[in-house]
Amino acid sequence: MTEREEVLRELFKPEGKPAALEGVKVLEICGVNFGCMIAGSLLAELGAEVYTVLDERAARVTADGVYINGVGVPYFVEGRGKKRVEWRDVETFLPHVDILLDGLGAGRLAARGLGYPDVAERYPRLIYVAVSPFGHYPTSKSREYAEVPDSDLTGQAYNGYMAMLGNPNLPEPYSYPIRAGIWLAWAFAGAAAAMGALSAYWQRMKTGRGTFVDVATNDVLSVDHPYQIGAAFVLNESRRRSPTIDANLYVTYTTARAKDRFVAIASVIWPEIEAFFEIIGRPELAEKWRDAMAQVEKDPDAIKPLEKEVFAVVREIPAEELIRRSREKGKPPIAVVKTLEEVAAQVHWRLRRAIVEVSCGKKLLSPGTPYVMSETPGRVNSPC
Amino acid sequence: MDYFKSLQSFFGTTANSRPLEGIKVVEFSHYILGPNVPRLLAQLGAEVVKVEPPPRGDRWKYAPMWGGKGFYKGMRIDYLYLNANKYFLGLDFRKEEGYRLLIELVKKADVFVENMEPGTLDRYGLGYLQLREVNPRLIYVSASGYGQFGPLHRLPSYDIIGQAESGIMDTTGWEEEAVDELYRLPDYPGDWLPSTMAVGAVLAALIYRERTGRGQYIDLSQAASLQRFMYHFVYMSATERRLRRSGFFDPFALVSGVFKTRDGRYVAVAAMTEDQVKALAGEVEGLLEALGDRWRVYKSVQRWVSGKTLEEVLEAGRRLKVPIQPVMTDIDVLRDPWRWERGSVVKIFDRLYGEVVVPGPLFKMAGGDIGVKWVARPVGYHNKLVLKKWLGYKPDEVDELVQRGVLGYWDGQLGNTPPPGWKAEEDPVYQGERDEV
Repeated sequence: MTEREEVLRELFKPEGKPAALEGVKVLEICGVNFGCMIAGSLLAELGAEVYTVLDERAARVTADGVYINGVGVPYFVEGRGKKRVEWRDVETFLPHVDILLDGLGAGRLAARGLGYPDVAERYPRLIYVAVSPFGHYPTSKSREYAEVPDSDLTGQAYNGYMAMLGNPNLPEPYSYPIRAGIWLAWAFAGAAAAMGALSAYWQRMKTGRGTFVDVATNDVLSVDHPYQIGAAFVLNESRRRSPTIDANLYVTYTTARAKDRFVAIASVIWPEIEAFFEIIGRPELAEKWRDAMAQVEKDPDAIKPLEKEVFAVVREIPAEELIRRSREKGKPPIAVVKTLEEVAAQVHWRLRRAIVEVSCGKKLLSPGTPYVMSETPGRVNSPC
Repeated sequence: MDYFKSLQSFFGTTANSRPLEGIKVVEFSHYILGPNVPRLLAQLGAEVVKVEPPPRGDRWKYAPMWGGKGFYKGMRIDYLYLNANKYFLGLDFRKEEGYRLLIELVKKADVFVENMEPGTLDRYGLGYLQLREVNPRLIYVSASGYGQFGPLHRLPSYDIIGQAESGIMDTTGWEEEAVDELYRLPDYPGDWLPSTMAVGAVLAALIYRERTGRGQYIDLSQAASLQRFMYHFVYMSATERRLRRSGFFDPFALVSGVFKTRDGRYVAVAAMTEDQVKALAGEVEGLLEALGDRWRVYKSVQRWVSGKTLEEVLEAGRRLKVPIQPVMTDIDVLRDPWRWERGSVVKIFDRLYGEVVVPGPLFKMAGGDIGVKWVARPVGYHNKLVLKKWLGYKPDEVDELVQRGVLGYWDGQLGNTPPPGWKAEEDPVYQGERDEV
């Protein structure tokens, strides 16, 4: 271990340190909206005291009927460290709340007399954060879809994300657009809502006034990623879905099947692309690739025969050999695509508390916290 | 009163307030992971100075996206977005005088963001341990693939490596008898999502500093940020089985998938709860009987969807209160009237690049004026303005620093140039005489 690493390990030790948001009270009323719940969880990991009005239907969401201590797998993670509040207590609890997270849908809390216009008057310091499919901000769709619940899959679809994912060359329906394997739209919505809540909290520290923050699951991913809008703006057409070469850079920034398993190849800039062709033993292909890239504008399929040839070569080389060669050359970064089992077994992620072992009747693995902070480390609250 | 009408009054009164006004950020980063943190802080009103060694700086600006068609008036469109609302300083920190100047800027900064390979900036005297000595209130963010410590921390990374190492790729694709493939997640979410989460950590650190006066070090790992959302680890350890790669199914939904409508459009359906399934079952023949077998469920819904147009399926979703939405393409996203109405897509008039269509902010804030004010600039464009605002330098002092090679400007290559027709002598912002907005 280098001296730097040794110092940093000591610096980041979480034991005995405060959390950044100690004293901040959050009430979440999320229904079955996990984007909203993720926001609450991220604030809890940063030290906020989070209370939740539990919708039993959210606790029932799970895969293959798997329940742990009576709750589904997603709620097992996103319910961590949250204290329950009953509906009947919300009114009396609200004066003590700094941040209210509303995931029920536009107008639903208003129907109970708890919409932003109602509570803003009574509690001007309150920060009200809404997470819903089309937002609460008045638009034709926020009205039209006010009563339709949120979902991650439809969020990924409406953000233009799924249109870029999957292999169109497979037989139907495997050729259809597919999803990112995690709740990506809800993760973005939750991260954006936490960011909105904290920027409003910061503003309140200066002005003494709360505000309304409105997150729409169906746009957050496509305003954070610049490609859906940027590509359509300059190209005046949609990009083509590609399972191998990168749909933006047209380079070998991709997963590929090596001889024994999948690898991820990260060639982005030209020296890395050249190095990649060298390590697969075909340096002459670099120039051909450059020529093909130049033709793509006129002929979108120009790169295809070359692509086929390149990946056929990669398929003959064992993964570890590819990695050895890339490290020897210094570029491009290549890594084995780790299986879930391999990731779960790695010391590195345990050491960083990214993956933690929890004891809930039996020992279980769970995502920990990504917040590694020297003064106020992220909290990994117990799910049990 | 109608809920939406009453909300309108809160959004209608723009107080032009931006929550992070007064917060100063020094960005020392490249590609996406690092620069997206200051981008989002700048959207909220922070003053961000992007420091780049002249003349090339952040190399991401040169990548020839979409076969070279990704450039807009000389700069790449996504780079213009990613570096919006920032001030550009072309500074050679490897020169003694440049280093000293950078340290003076750091003394004034609240936040410092970098994403070089771990340890790189320490070698230049710009690591956290060194900068906290000159500014103990500094909030310093290092963004990398694996983080700054741990057995893997020295390995290089890009988004795709973070994806491979996190396990997320092993959740994405098909794992069926007929097809066994996995894919990278497109458009580099291994950069965008972790950096978005990091902004929450920065804000929390600012709040903590306001109370205690103490700055701190934030160690962001791409892979760990993605792992935060992988419930697969819980499932796997609870059942001793792996949760298969999901294709187009949401494994946590009771009914889900992507289907093709009668008019050939893809549509996503996800019933998360029993009441949603019941509502759907009123129209989808055989659905209840098929529950528990995802392909049988899929086939019954596909039969229903294939007899309807996209509009008819969407209408059914609204009526049944079941999440159903089209799989939008890039063009659909750009032209979506809802996005223009909401401000998720906005046309701005940039002083240099003219009319540019840009993505809106990540959320709407009542009374707040957040979002894109101007797009990126080439290396060193704000040299005079930044040094005047932050350190009180006069234009001729800046010119002298340029002559000594401490400061510099862009190289004029595609991706790093002002738009055609731009004239330095006619540009008061470039001359440091006025601000961007």
